[in-house]
Amino acid sequence: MATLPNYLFSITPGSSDPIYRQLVDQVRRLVAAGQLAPGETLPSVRDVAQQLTVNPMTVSKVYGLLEVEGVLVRRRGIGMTVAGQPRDKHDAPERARLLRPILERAAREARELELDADTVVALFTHILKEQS
Amino acid sequence: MTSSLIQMRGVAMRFGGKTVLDGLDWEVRRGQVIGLLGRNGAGKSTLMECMLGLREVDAGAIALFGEPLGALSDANRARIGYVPQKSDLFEWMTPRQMLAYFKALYPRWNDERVATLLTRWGFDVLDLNKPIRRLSGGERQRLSIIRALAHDPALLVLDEPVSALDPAGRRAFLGELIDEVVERGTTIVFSTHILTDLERVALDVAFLKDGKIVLQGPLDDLLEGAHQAQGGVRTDSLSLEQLFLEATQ
Amino acid sequence: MSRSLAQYWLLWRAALGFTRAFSPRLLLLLAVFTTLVSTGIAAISASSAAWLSWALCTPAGFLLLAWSLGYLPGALKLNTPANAQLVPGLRRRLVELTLLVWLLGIGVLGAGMLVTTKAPGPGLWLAAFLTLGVAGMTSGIRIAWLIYLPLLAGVVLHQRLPRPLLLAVDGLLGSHLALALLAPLGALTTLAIFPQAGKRHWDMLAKQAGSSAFGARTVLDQEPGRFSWDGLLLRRALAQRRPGPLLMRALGRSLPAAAANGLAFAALGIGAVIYLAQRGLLPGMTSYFAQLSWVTISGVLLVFVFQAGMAPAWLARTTGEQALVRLAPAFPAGAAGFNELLARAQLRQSLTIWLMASSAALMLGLASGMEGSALWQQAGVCCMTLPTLALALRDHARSSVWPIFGMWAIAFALSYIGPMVGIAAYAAFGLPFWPVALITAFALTAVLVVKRLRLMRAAPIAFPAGRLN
Repeated sequence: MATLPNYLFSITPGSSDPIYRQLVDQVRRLVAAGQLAPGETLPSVRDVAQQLTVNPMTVSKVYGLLEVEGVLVRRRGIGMTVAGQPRDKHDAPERARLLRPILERAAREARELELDADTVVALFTHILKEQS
Repeated sequence: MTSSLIQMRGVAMRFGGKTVLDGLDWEVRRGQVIGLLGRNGAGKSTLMECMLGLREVDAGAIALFGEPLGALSDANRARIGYVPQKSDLFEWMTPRQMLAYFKALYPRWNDERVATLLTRWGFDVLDLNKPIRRLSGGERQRLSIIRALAHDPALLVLDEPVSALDPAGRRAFLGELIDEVVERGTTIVFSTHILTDLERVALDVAFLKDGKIVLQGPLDDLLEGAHQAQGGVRTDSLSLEQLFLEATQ
Repeated sequence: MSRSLAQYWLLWRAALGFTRAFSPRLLLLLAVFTTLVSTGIAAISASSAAWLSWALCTPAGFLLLAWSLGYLPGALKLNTPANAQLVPGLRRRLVELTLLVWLLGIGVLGAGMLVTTKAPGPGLWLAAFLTLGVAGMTSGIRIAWLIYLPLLAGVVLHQRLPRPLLLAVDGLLGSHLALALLAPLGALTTLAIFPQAGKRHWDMLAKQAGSSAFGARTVLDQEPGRFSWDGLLLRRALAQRRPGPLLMRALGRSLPAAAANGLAFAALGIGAVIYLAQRGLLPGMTSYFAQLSWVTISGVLLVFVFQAGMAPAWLARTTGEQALVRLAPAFPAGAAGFNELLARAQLRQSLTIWLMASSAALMLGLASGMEGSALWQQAGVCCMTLPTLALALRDHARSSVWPIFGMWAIAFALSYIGPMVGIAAYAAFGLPFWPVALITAFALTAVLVVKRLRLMRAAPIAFPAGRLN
């Protein structure tokens, strides 16, 4: 039973995202990116709670939500594991959907800065090219 | 056997001509971790003191563990841990003496836990034999928390327990609270101004304003359910700080 | 000019405001009353100019008392390093005010003495050194005890010096030159006790924090030594787990232990006075008191009376601790049971201290050669103070705390009721003094204690004290 390194999860309290939402998004991203391979076991609720210093009920809520979504699967005797969906099953639209919250936030900021769409898109393209 | 650990109905209290609590209703269920928020002077400390029976209320009924306050059994009194705001208590005793004193007052006392906490939170032999008056504010607060946790309480009432602690100290304290919840399912009521701490540990929050609990509920739901309309743009959730400012305006 | 006076008045009031136990109004009342009484007595009984002397010396004495015990601790608190360094003129004004009031007191005292004698004698120097010594000790200057040396030397050596030398010394002390030294002496001390930031200032503050200023806290807040009665008594109380003693430990350090401390000092001091007096070594008025040794020895009882009067204030200090202790299951939850426990524990404690003080008094009496009826009289005096036992029993939850001088006045008054009734009975009906006085004292004690116990049983739960006023 492999356990994942402790720095896998991180939270930012005080932001407008509730902690559980931050964790849910993080797990989704990790799974979509392949860093959490199908079949891998996640740390127990208690371990995550103690490592992040959050209420264990929050962590179990996160795991519960992800289980309902189908991202995680609870295996008797083992714990929470990543659902066995091979990476290529996550098609581009699905992955793009995961990026939406961050892009929505960026769009909000752009609107506040009164930037037009073209400038923003050009900037984003530039950044993507820069980082690849 | 009712599942509500604390039940306050219609509690009213006047103090020095001012109405501090005004027909307050509040219920805390077993196993809840609830943060009590309010502006300075809103009466959080007074509320906690009334809840524990340390102050008389002018009207209303308070029940702890399903028993009315006036008739609380000794067994239930032994299950309450209280960390008051003022941490410089028993200044003339040394930490060792103070802990021994409370050990004599409570039927159950977890020596092992006390020893672990004392070492983990930085009390060495010298500190333990110094009068509490000579300890720093942070050390006194940590000692106060250890004293409250030492008899394995089922209900923990904390009044700004970390105001004098540095971030490391707060982290350690929160870790200890989480252990409490995990291992023992303790019910925790605490008030603090450090909202990030509250967000980590508390599942529910209650806002005290004008002598009443004006808003209470699961923290996540409250944060997500409150929408701000800002010039026609809907933001999808508030931070706890924003919620606090709005609720206690 | 008036601006400076306004600033002085402000500082005076601010400093007095720091010492809560000290009620300036009460002291003023007491000062006026005592002045009138002493002037009246002097006018009636003594020579023509004596009343003026008393009229000047008594208020001066009270002023110096207020200066050293009421004003000075507060002024020292005002002179924090930050204030001294950063607030313009604060330290200067404090120094000026302190010095001026002291000079005023000493000056009026000297003038009062000059009315009856040609030159103010050692009494003036006694007052000067005593007040400066208290000032130095309160402020935490390490070498302040040196100020007491001339006092001690004067008291001990005064009669032992050969006559010509004695006259010379007296003359020197009364001479203008010596008197002129008083002002610089005062100035030096005042400047020393008000430092201007820096290491010395912080050292003094640390020392002040270790031993608090005058009041109920002095003996009782000392740091425990390696071997302390307080620690021993605590361990014993914890081992026995009797609720009464455990409850009392929540209020502070062990009062009987502290009283034993105080008694030891008092007994030593009084013993020394009596010893010197019996060898004829003490000057003037002090030897008069020493002759009436039972009066002096009864000074030991002051430890008991002070403690008894202090009980309400003692309870008011530890409201936080009382809250915690109230939640503990070892003590009764109901008001009647709890208050009964507290009342019994306080009575037991007070009685213990009374027994200790009375035994100390009787032993001193034995040591100074009292026998037979004198010893019985001494015991009788001890019994007169019994009614003060009842002062500890009150509705702690509701009653507010009186200033400590007021409580001490009440404690004294209670102790005097027995003798007063005895005197009245003797004067009016010719009844023997001691039986009447003793019976009154015992009866009063019984009545007060029973009444107040009943009061406490019906009162709301005593801890935390003062929450309902």
